[in-house]
Amino acid sequence: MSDFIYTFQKGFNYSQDGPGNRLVYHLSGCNMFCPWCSNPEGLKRTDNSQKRSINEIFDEILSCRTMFFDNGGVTFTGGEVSLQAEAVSTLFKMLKKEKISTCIETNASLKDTEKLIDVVDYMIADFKSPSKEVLKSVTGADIEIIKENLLKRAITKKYLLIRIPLINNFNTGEENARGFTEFFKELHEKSGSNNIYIEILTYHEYGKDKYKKENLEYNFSDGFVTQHQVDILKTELVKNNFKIIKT
Amino acid sequence: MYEFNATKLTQMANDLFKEERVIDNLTGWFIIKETESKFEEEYKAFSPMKKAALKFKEAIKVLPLSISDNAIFVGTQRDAFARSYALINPTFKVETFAGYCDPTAVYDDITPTEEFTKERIEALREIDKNTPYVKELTEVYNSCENLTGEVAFFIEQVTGHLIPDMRVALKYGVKKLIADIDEKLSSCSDDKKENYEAMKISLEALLLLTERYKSIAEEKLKSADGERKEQLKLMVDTLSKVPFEGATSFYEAIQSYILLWQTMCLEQAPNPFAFSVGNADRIFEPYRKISGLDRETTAALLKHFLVFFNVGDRSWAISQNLIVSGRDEDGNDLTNDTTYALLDAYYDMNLPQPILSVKLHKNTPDKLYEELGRFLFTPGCLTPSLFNDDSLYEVLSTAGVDIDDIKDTSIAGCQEPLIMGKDNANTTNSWFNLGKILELTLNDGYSTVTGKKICDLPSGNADALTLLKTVRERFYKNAEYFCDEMIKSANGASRAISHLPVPFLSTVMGGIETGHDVRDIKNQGTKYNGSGCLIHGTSVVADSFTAIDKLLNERPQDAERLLTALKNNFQGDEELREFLLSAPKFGNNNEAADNEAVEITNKIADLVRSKKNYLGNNFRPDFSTPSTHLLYGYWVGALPCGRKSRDMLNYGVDPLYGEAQNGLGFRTLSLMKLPFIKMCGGYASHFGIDPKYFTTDSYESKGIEFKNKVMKPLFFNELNKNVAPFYLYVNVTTAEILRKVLAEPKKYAPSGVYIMRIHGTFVNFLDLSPAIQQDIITRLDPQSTTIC
Repeated sequence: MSDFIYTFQKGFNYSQDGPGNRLVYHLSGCNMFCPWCSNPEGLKRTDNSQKRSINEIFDEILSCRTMFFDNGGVTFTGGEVSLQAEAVSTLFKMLKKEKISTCIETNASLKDTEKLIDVVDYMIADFKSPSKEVLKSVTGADIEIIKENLLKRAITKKYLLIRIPLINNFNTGEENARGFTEFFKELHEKSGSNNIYIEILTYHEYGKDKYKKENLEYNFSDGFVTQHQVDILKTELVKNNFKIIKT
Repeated sequence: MYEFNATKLTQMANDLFKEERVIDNLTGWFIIKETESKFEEEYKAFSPMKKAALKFKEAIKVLPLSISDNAIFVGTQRDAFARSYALINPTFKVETFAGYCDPTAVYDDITPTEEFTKERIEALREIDKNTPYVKELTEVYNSCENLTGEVAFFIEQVTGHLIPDMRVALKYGVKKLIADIDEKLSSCSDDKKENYEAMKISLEALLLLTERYKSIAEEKLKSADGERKEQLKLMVDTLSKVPFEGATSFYEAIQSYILLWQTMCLEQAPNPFAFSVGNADRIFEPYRKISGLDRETTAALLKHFLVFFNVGDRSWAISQNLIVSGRDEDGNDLTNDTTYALLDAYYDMNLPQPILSVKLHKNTPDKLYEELGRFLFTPGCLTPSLFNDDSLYEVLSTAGVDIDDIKDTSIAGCQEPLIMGKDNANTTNSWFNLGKILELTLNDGYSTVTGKKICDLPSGNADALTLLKTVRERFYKNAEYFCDEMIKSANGASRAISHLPVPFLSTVMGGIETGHDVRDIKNQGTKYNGSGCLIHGTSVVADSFTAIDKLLNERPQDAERLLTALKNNFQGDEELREFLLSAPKFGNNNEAADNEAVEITNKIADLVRSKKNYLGNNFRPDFSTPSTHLLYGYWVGALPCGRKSRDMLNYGVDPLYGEAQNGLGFRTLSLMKLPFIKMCGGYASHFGIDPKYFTTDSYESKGIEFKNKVMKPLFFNELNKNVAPFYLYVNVTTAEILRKVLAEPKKYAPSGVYIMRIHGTFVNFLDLSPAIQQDIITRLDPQSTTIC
């Protein structure tokens, strides 16, 4: 078991990744390679990553208690948090004793995600495409593992927010909309959870400038979606009574 | 009856501002001073206060007046100001800035012309040099020259910097003030008689000014036609009524206010900086209601009101503050329709003056945050100073202000909280430089900047190791010595300025009740009184102590080496400097570093607060450094925190730029630990925030994002058990954006105005001297404000 956590960024945000005011840690390394990724600096564990002991991060979190107002707490995002699931899970158990709220934002595409599913208070997971082939070819992820992880979380009936990054030429259109809905229906039926929420995030290029700094090329274009494209998905979700939220 | 046309009024306000911006020689103040000096002999038999009033009235008789064709109100404060304020002067250099010690330096700020010849200017300067005021002030400066030369402290006489209460004059008219004075005259003791007569004469000067404007308007009316004729008729009718009678409409109230303000400023010519309006929304809302004006028309008239505060080509009347919103003592929100109309007027005009401040509290409606969004997120647009009214209630009641009075808290100058009409705080009276005191403590009273012996220190000297081990004790002991010397001189400056009584101002500052002049040094003319002390360098000294601890722990053998490195400004010992820089710094939520800053702030606040001013009232600790972090930093040698000689000090209570590396939340955590309850004189703090962190798509929703991400953690965090911070100003921009604006001003600021904030005031970024432009860019300090 690793006693260390590798991060590349930390800071606070309000109600964006979990409720209330939260201390957000970005963890280094990712198993996927989404071409539109807005945190390319987190794709690999590099020399710029900070190696910090679990205890050190734990102490830092405790010293920030005053900032966890409005039911806030700590969020671990990435990169991909599941790559360091063991250490993060240990830390979450320590935080639970301190009654500090925890949240992860994950792509849910690793087997190891399940190590976090039971211990974390709030789980935010991406579901990028309902198509096994498209997802595999564009991001490298295996849809079955994602589906399994989401179902495991849903069954706990604890908070689960599923985010769809809506991207032109990737997951828009009616067929995709139906695909998303079908999986969510299945999830709902199998778990019986009423604690599942959906959020649509539209494509942006806030991270584009970072690619140069990382000596990477930004190889995606024409990803922006129209309101009409958003509405197609929204209508389909609303029709099926899913709870759509905006964080 | 003239029907207000909002579009037309807005056009006129814009044109009026354009007219003002081409005025590049200000001469009115000179005429006032010259006239007053001519009448010195004639009125010499009277008490100083009465003499001042009589001379002032003579000046009002001859002051050239005019009414612009674009004006809907009469009045200007142009004649009260000279082109003096250094920071907006393109020739300003940190290296040669010598403070404001020479009260006759203002004669350099008038450009000689055929009418105002060099000889005429010099003649008046010579007369001025021999006035009791200038003589006494010069003596005070001479007596502390050794200690102010390299700014261990600085002192100044305070003009302006007050918040008059015009409400009675607006509502009941000046006739009510005169009637009150007459009543007092019939029963007052002899020593107050001439004071009251002086106040009455000064009010007559206002009525005379009004009468003269009315004649000009009547003259113009004769040849006017169309809409302008209607406007001039309204002006004549209004001037026949206000300010003598009470105002019964919104238009009349503003006209009345402008003339009152103008007279107040003329009385203190030249340069009564930083008078403030107070809660303008509450002052004018009753009149808006009576007039039944909609938001657009209200805003249109207020645009003219705002233009009035801008003087000459660079808006030379600086740091005038206008505050909106806030709460009452029960926590009820006091935002009203005039609040929003004022915001519209501010946004549309985007003028360098007056400064907009907003009092927020935990019950502030979201609508206000939504309406503020456009100010924060429009590039080059003015941004308001943000105050936490909940904290102000706690801070001011602890400082002894009656709870009933606190709702009238407003800001005099940059961020000093004062009570409208009741508080004479001499806010900028003294300036305390902790960085310099530490430098001298570590070098036996010798300056490491110039090598000069500044003074013998109470702490004496010791070997390097002892010196470092006992540095705190020695520093605080010396701070006490410098503080005492500073207070002596500061009170001297207040005594000097009392030679220039201000009877008109006294009528709107409680003088009619007390019978005393605001500046009286024996009898208190205002309900509250104190003197200010601006404390510089808390963070650099705190970081220095922490770095010394690290050195003593890890390499005590280098004690001597440290002192040598400081003398050499780290030249040749970059290794040691790197070591010192690696010590924990304030602003990162590091316990040791933050505790040090808390302790210094507590101790110095207590020290300053324990000192008495000329009336026996306490000094008010004010942790703000209005660009003086640069000016005084220039005189501070290298410090153990790793800061180099002549570099800036930390701004206000903020970490030194570059030292807070963990983003906004961690910086906020550090800030929240400071004892704001003791900062009754105010404090300064600035966040330079990158707009990229606010991703919603409308100004309104960005306003709410700003509330949640910035204001709520800092001001309204229910988990914070301390008294929360109560002041913040922000620049939402990046260094790249500002560099682009400087490189291509025509492209990024086609109007020639790109408003940025420096300390408590906002300025046209393009008007600033290069040193100050650079300071703004440096202090954006993006690493200290990242949001994840």
